[in-house]
Order: sequence, then structure tokens, then C-alpha cells
Amino acid sequence: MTAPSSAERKACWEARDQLWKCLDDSRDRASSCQHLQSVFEAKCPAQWVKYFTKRREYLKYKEKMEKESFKPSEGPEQPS
Amino acid sequence: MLALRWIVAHRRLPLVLKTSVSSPCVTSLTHLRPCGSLQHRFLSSGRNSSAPTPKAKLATRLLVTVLFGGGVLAAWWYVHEEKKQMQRQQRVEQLRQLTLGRGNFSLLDHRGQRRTKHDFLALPQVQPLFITVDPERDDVAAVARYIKDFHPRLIGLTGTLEEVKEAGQDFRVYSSAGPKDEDGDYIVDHTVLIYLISPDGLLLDYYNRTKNEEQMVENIRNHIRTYCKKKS
Repeated sequence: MTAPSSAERKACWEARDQLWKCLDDSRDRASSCQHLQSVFEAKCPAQWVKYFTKRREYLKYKEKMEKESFKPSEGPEQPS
Repeated sequence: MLALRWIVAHRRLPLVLKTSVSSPCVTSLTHLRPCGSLQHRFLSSGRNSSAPTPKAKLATRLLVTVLFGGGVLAAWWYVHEEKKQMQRQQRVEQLRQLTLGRGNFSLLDHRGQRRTKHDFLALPQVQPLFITVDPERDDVAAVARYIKDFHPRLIGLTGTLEEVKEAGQDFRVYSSAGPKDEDGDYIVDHTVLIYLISPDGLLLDYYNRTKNEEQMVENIRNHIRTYCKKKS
């Protein structure tokens, strides 16, 4: 399968940016961005959809860690 | 150039101001003529008719302060530039010690012509190159299609899996193809860097995603300047 052309890449990135803006505005409520989600999936190669979806999860996780500062999970009490 | 000598705490002036210039030099801020003979004068003394007016005193004070301040700033800027240059040299030295890029890669350009690294050394201009990390899918035609949207002088390179791997290893480029999906499609994870290669074929510098166009241009211009200086 041929790689996406410059125009196709640009269209994919724009669709992704619009979807992510919608998700940012609705505080990650995917239900309010269904239309943009399907546009994004149509304009981007399947592998890119997977990659960008994972990337967003990573960025959100990173943001959360930076804001709340890492809290190590509760473990058994260690003798001090 | 006026010869100004600073002597602290004249009892009449709140500022440090005692200059040894002959009064015709300092009539106003806009008219500084080169002085003939130098005479000692207290600018504050208003007793004789040829003494400068209060306005000229202030103007002189301001002018001299500005010149002095300017001198300090210039000295600071000079030292700052020297430090930057030293840091740049250190970085170049560190990279040179790694001597990355010793090999002579041999690849096909986007017109199907065979090119080696040595073909691109000692050119009169900076030569942009693109080398694919996925030669399995990026044959000559695919590379030609890809690069036509970029700079007209950009040359795209590909080859067999071994040839591309060897070129990448020379510069420690990381690349890793992901799993294929049901369509046989996959993405390739790889180093996101732009490498600058010197005329002797070794890695001179590199740029990551945080570097913008202006920073890269300034960096390259600086390398060209210091490289030419070294060679001459």
C-alpha cells in the first residue's frame, strides 16, 4: 500500500487536531466528539489512528502526573 | 576619542564627575569635536565666563554615564559571546570524539543513480539529504514521490535493507518496524533527528524536535564560519 501523500498527511493531522480540540473542550467526553472521531478515522491510515490514539493517552497521562505529582501506590508497611 | 578620566567625589557634584577635557569639546550632547590639547578643568566651577552652563554639565554627565554604561554592556556582551563560542566548541569536540559517520554509505538516489557519502563531501553548498529507514516499502519511486513536496535540492536515498542498515549504523540511527496489521501495514519507530555532516564526512552536529528553523540556520552558519576559520 502506498504511503499517504503530503495533502493526505495534512488532512489527517488536521482531523486529528480538530478531534483533540473537541476532546479538550469537552474534557475527554468521547461521546460529544463522535462525528470528529469518524472523520479522523476516515482521513488517517489505520496504523496512524492507533498511534495517535495511544499518543493522546500518553500525553494525558503525562499531564496528569505533572499536575498531581507521582503518588506511589500503597504497599506493605516497610520496617524503618 | 575623548580621553576622559574619572575621579571620584568632587565635593560639589553628587555624581563622580571630573573630566580632563578642554571645554570647547563639550558644548552640547550633539557636538563632540576631537580635542586638541587636554587641560584639567573642574566642570562644576561656574566662576569664570568660559565655564560650562548647568545644562552642559548635565548633558556631559548623562553622556559620560551613557558611554560608561555602554562600555560595560559591550564588555559583558563580548564575554557572553566568548562563553557561547566556547560551549559550542566543547560540544563539537565531544561529538568529534565519537567520530560518528566513519563509513561510506552507498545508496540509490530518487532518480535511481548510485551515490556514496563521498559524493556529497566538499560541495559548495549545504546539501539536504533524506534517507529512508523503511527501504522495504520505500523504493526509488516511493522516495521520489515523497521528496517532491520538499526543497527542490533535497536528494532522497534508499537501497537494500543491508545498505540502509549500514548507513544508519554509521550514525547510530535507531529504527524499529512495528507489527504488521491485517492489511500488512505497519509504522516504523525511529530517531527523530536531523544530522549535520562536515566536509570530512563525520557527524558535526544534530538537531531534535525542539530546534526551530532560525536556530538551525544560526547553528549551521556558525559551524560554517568556524570550520572555514580552522581550515584557513
